[in-house]
This record gives sequence, C-alpha cells and structure tokens, in this order.
Amino acid sequence: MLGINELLNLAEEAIKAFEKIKLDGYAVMVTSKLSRQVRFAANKISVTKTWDETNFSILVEKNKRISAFSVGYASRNLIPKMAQLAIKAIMKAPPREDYAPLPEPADKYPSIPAEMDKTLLDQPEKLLDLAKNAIDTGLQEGAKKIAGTILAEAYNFVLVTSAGFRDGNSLSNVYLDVRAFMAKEATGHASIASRTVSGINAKEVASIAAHDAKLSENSKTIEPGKYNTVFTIDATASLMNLVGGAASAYAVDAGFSFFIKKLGTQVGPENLNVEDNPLDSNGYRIRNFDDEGVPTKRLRIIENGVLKTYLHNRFTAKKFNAEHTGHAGWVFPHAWELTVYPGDVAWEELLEMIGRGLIVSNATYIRFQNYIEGTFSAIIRDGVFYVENGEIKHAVKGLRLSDSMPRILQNIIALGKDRRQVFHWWLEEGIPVITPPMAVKEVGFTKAFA
Amino acid sequence: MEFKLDEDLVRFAVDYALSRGAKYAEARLQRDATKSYIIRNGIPEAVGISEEVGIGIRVLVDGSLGFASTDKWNDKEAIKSVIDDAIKIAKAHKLGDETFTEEPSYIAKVFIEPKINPENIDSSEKFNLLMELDKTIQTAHEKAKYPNRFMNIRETLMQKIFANSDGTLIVSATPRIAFFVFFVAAANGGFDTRFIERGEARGWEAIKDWKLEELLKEEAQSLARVLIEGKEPPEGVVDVVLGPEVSGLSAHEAVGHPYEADRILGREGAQAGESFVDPDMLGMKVGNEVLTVIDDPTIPNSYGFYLYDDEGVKARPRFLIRNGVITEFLHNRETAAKFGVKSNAAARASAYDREPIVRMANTYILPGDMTFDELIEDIKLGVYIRTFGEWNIDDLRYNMRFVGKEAWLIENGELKHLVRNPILEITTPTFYKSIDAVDKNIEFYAATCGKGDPGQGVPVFVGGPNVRLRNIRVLRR
Repeated sequence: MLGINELLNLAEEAIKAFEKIKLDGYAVMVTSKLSRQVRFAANKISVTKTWDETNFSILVEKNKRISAFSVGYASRNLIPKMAQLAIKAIMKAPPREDYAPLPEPADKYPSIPAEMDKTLLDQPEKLLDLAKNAIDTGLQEGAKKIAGTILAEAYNFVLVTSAGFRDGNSLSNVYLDVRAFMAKEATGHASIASRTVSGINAKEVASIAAHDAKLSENSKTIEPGKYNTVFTIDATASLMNLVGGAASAYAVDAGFSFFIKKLGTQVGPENLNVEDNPLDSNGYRIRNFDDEGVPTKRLRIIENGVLKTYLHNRFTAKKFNAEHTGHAGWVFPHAWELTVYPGDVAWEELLEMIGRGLIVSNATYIRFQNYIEGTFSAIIRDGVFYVENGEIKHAVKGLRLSDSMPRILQNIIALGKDRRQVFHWWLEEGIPVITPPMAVKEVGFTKAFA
Repeated sequence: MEFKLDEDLVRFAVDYALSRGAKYAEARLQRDATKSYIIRNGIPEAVGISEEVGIGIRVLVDGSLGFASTDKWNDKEAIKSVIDDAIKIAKAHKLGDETFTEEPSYIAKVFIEPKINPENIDSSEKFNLLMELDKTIQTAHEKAKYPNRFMNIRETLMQKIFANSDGTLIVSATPRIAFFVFFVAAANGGFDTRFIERGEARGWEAIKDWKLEELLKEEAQSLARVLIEGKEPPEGVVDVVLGPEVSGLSAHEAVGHPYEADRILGREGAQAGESFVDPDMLGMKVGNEVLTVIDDPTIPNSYGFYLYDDEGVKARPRFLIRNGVITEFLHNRETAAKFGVKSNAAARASAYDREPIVRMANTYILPGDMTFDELIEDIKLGVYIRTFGEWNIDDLRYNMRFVGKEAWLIENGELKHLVRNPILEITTPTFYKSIDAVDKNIEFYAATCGKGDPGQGVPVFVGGPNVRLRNIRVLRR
C-alpha cells in the first residue's frame, strides 16, 4: 500500500497533466487500499480474498461544466488523455445552472480521532480467528449451521483540489456479519462494525444470531395486519439507512426522497434524534473533510423529531440556498455515519410497551413503490417473534413488512438504551449506523397467498 | 500503459500460482471502460468516465479456495505478492475440501463488434438526445407535471483474457450500451415514480432501435393516466395476467435465483441467502406443460451475453424448467463437483476484482402461440399487470411480491380501466402452479442482477410473454 506522501506526489503528477487544457477547477482523490475478506458458510471457511488497489478519482471543471473520471494506478499514464476526453465530452453541453466553484479550504478542520489499525495489514490470520470464533460460538450456542462474512479494509487517501485543499488520512474499518441456521426458515442474524479488529466482538454477534435461530424454530403463521413492533438494532439500522438516503439534498432534488417539502416539520416523535457523525473514534467511516475539501462535523439531521437539514454539497447548497454541510461525495451528497440517539428503555421494557406485537430482527430487500410517499415493503427474516405482555410467545413466519417510512418514523414509541455499530453491504444506502432498537406502533404487515 | 490483451501476464500468474503450491489456478486480466452521460431535470450534470483494469487470480490450494486481485496488472512483482498472500491465507485456515470439476479446455476468441461504435458519436449528440427525451417526458400528458427526471446513457467495453491451469485461454471483448431513466409524475393531487432500463451487448445502433422517444412518451402518459384514471383494483381471488416485464422478473427472481446451486448448497447463506429448492427436487413437476424457463447466455446481443464463462467453460442454454418439470440447476465448477455433474458455465465475475460465482445470464419464460386477446377472452374478472414498481422476494426465493404500476381491470374478456397499485403477494410454488397459459408476445428487459459479498452487479436480460395465472389473490395497498 502506498503512503500518504506517495499519494500526494501521485496527485500532483496527475494535476500537471491539466496544465495544457486550462481547467477552471479540479479535484483529485487518490486512494490506496488493502482489503481482506473471509467468507464462511455451512460451518467452514468457503473462500478468502485479498485486494490490492490504488485508484485515482478525478473531477475536472471548465466553464461551469463538470466531468468525472477514474483510473487505476497502472493506467495512470492515461490521465492526460482522459482529462482531455472528459472535458471535450462535456463542453458541448449547456453549463450547469447549479454550478458553484470548489470551496476554499477552511481555516480549521476537526482532528481525526483515530488512525489505521495495522493489524489488518500485518496479521490477516486474526480475521481467520474471528471467523472461527463466530463459527465455534454459534455452534456452541446450539445453532446447526453458521455462515458469515468478515470484510476488513486499510487505506490511505488524499484529496488535492484547485481551491488549495491538500490533505490525506490513514484509516481502516472492519465488519462481521453472522447468520445462524437451525433450519431453512429458522435463522438468526447480527452484525457489528468497527474501525479496528479488536472492536469486533464475534462472540456477541454469533450468540445473538444463534439465539434467534433457535427461537425461530417451530414458527407459526399469524394474521397479517397492524402490529406494534420492536425493531432490533440490526433491523433499525436497515430502516435508518433509508432516513440517511432520503436526507441527501440530491435525493430530494431528483425525487428519490420521502423528505421532500418536509424540512422544518415534525417527521418523528420528540425523542427521535438522528445525527451524522463521521468523527466518532470507533466509527466505521471516519472523515474530517468531504470530497470537496469542506470540514465535516457532527450534524443533527432530525432533532427532537424535526427534520432540521438536508445534506449538501456545493451544488445542492447553491440550488437550495443553504449552507454546505460537509457531505460532498464524489457525485452527490450523502451521509457518512448515522448515529441514532438512544432512549432510556431497556430491551425488556420495549417488549412490555408494545403489549401484543412483534419483534423484527432483520429487514432486507427494501423496495419502494413510491419514493415520495415512502411506501415500501421489506423482507423480514432471521427472527420474527410474536410477543404478549413482554414475553416472546412463538416465532412467526410468512409475514412481510409493508408500510411507509413517514408513518414508521411518526409512530416510534420508544428507543432502547443499548447500541451497536452496524454495517454490511446489504444496507440499502451503504451507510454505517450506530443505533439502539426501537418500538413502533401499528406497523403494517402482509402475507403471501399460498 | 495502454491495455493489451496480452496472454503473457495471465500465463505468468497461473504458472506462478502453481509453482507456489496451487493445485488449480486461473487468472483473468480484465478491463472495463465506461462512459456515462447524465442529465437531471433537463440539465446535463456530468460526463463520467472510468477505466477499471486489473488481474484477478483464483487458487485452489490444500482444498481451500483463495482469491486475490491487484490493479497493478502490469507489475509482475505485485501479481506475485497478491498470489503469495492468497496462498498463505488459504493454507492458514486448513478447513477446505473444495474440488473443481474437470472440464474440457478451450482456446478461443470472442469479439463482439458494434455496428456503430459509440466512440464515433459526438457527445453533443448524446446530450441533445437526452435533453429531447427530457422534453418528451415533460410534455407527455397535458394534465400532469413531471417535476423530477433523471437520465443516463452508459457505454461499456469489457475486455478479458482468461487462462487457467487446465490449458484454457479465452480472449473476449464485449461492448454494452444501456439507458436508464427515473421520473416522477404529479397529477390529480398525487405523485408516482417510475424506473425504466434498456441495455444490450451492442453499439449505438441499439439506442436507435429502442425508439426511446416513443417509449418515454407512452410510459410518462401511462404514469399520469394511472394517477388520473386509476381506480381501486378488485380485492380477493381473481385471474391475473402479467406482462413480459413482470413475468420476466418472476423468472429471474423465483426460478433463476433459487436454482443457483451455490444457494442450494448454502454458500451464499450469510446474506444473499439459501434456496427453498433442494437437490432432490430435480425432476419434480412444479408447473403446467406450458411452463418452460430457460437461462441462455448465448442469445446474440443480449445484455447478459457470453460464450465462455469466467471459469473458461463453454456456455449453452440451460433449461431450468421444461414443460413444468425442473430439469437443471445453475452451476460453476465448484458446485458441479459437489453435485457430481458438469458445470453449465454459470460462473460470472462482475469485474477483475470479484471472484466468479454462480450467476444467471438471460432468463426467460418460453412463449407459446396464443394471442393476448385469446389469453384474456375467458376472464370474467381479473387484473392485467403490465408493469411493476415495488418488488421483493425472500432469501429462500419462496415468498414474492410485485406491485403493479400500470395495471388494468379485466372484465368479461376486455381491459376495462386502469387500477392503482394492485399487489400480488404469493409463494413461488403457487405462482408457477397457477400459470395455465402464455401468449406469443415475448419481450426482454435489461437489468442488473446483484449477488455476492462484496456485491457483484452483472448485466442480465429478464424476459417472457404475457402469462395467465388462475385464481390468485390480489390485494389493495
């Protein structure tokens, strides 16, 4: 893996290629990454993977027109030609009405609270140990089959812009995702994410997965309809991903958001607070500057239930006449890492609060029928349980979550007090989330015709 | 360094892996060059160009499978380094009992030449086309507004050179072109949204053949009409006719995916999931005689086209269901070895840095010889779902749901009026048992199928004719 100084030199080399084409602006991000993955299924490791990648992402601007291109390390000699092509391709299009120049660097940036965990580079066998630990724990807890994934990334990256920004960071992240099986329909799941290998508690997530798989045996069918529901940490993380996605000003502008025209309105109860925080020292996605070189910050998206802001880059900030929020991605603004504020309610109390209702442990394959209304359905699995008077009575099969995000947010009754950081690539918006579980009243469920 | 389909590098990687103790090795040098032209709400947003090149190597060592890749594809030391790493880790876990099937070796070249190379079309023509299409949507219906529109033309050239330790060497070049649109319609006090995708393994000539202006006018009008004229659908058990867009999706989601042998074996159990299908279901009758479902990578110009898979196995049509009976699962060399059969060339990798796993190519329901009118003529009360919005299916591929976008009430053999959001939520066995007729109007649709971890999006066709299902429950939203 190349170091920060080497990457800065590579960026400067690339920039020299722009002299001939007289750009108005540019941004060059160079990332060098070593990634490792261990996948396991049916109680054994099925494949191990290693990736070694150094990539250039480059934005070029001229006369309020923008082109972006990316190229790998070995093809970097193509950068001058690609820059010319990229500019030529866009110059015949009209200028962007929402154009805003790359921002000047700020006087001060928040300090990066952490650094790369070098274990990922030097001791790949520790990832094998985590996989074995997850398999052994799951089996000891009584599951019949364990499957899962560990993905670990260590990376250096730099950003150099024509506005004068020049900096880089050295970071890492790891996630473990475990699924336990007692039978095809009796499964459990949990995942955990961290900046470091030592932050991954394989025993904890494998135990949750195995516990839920065992509880999922002898499941029964129940009538579809509205049920008060406790969403576990993993299921809440899936739904909060949709909140992060809908908060992007780009999604609002393109019509992909259920937060259109909702700014300043009450979108949830007063105890709902959702923050974007890329500065947590154990965060999965730490950043102290965004892809335009703007400082990142802790930013409350939903405060006491009120939608306080959309997430902006320079273009959406101009179009919405709003402040840049430090959320520029390479193409559109996005959340970095969501934190849902905990409540003060213990898990057992959450179950008691819902009276007769359901626990949903995982929500996947979320698809919207209407993005603006936020109507959607999701597959629920890995532990769906019927609860009465605070006790799990039996597992439930065959239901599908079918509701709308605005309604679910409005109907949150309580948030739990225990939190975990969740990330895995199946999250719809790819946003890491630190969240407690939540209880929601009158959630809609449907059932298949058989 | 300019990319060349140079066999020296892949042979070097394979030989080096063997010298380090691999029992089997394969190397794939792959370049994916992509250009995207994006407009949002009528304004050109950006051109995106990407050049992804690298080499992916897979080794079987001491019964364990290791995969490694590097984008330093022209640096033999970098290639050696990732192979060493892959072999070291594969040896360290000492848990493997993997084997691959023996397959014939091939030396072949597969080059698809576009009739009109998109490189030769000026970018201004591409943006002008997109801006004209944007106007087409905006003016499609006098009583509707279309406040949000997003469009993208994407051109890709995928070049690969593959070698393995069995002596296979395959060189290929496949151009693809795709068009993607998302828009919002506002009418009658409501909003609705629609995605449309087209794609083929061809050049710019495909854009002309798709008649995009006509398509977008019809689809934008359709969405407005649903908002303005759509009534509540019938609720309860009725006959249902699904258009090719929906029948094709069902073939992909509820036949193709559960018939992937890696799912059946549990290898994708972590997240993508397993399958309700068991190995002993081969030969089982799951549908009427009219039901035949094929997955065929060899359809010329199809979005999922290939002639050799990413393990070097020669492709052929796979009859997953023939006349209602399960006849074949989808295999790569790893799953075929476990089933004691030969691979049917379903191994695909989305890029140089992804391992080949079991995938579909072009999955479709075989058409029959009825007309659409014959299909609906004896339906007293039913719903015709031409297009869909929301859909999903559980990880066993047993419990699926489609929500109609453009849908019609069928009454006494005629389409009467539009209905809004009819929901079809049904188990896979019931779905396929209920198909009693298919018409002759087959259509194919481009899609990007997601699977694997990290994710691998691969281009596919889904297709089928209009299909009729008897006595199916329809729900209202």
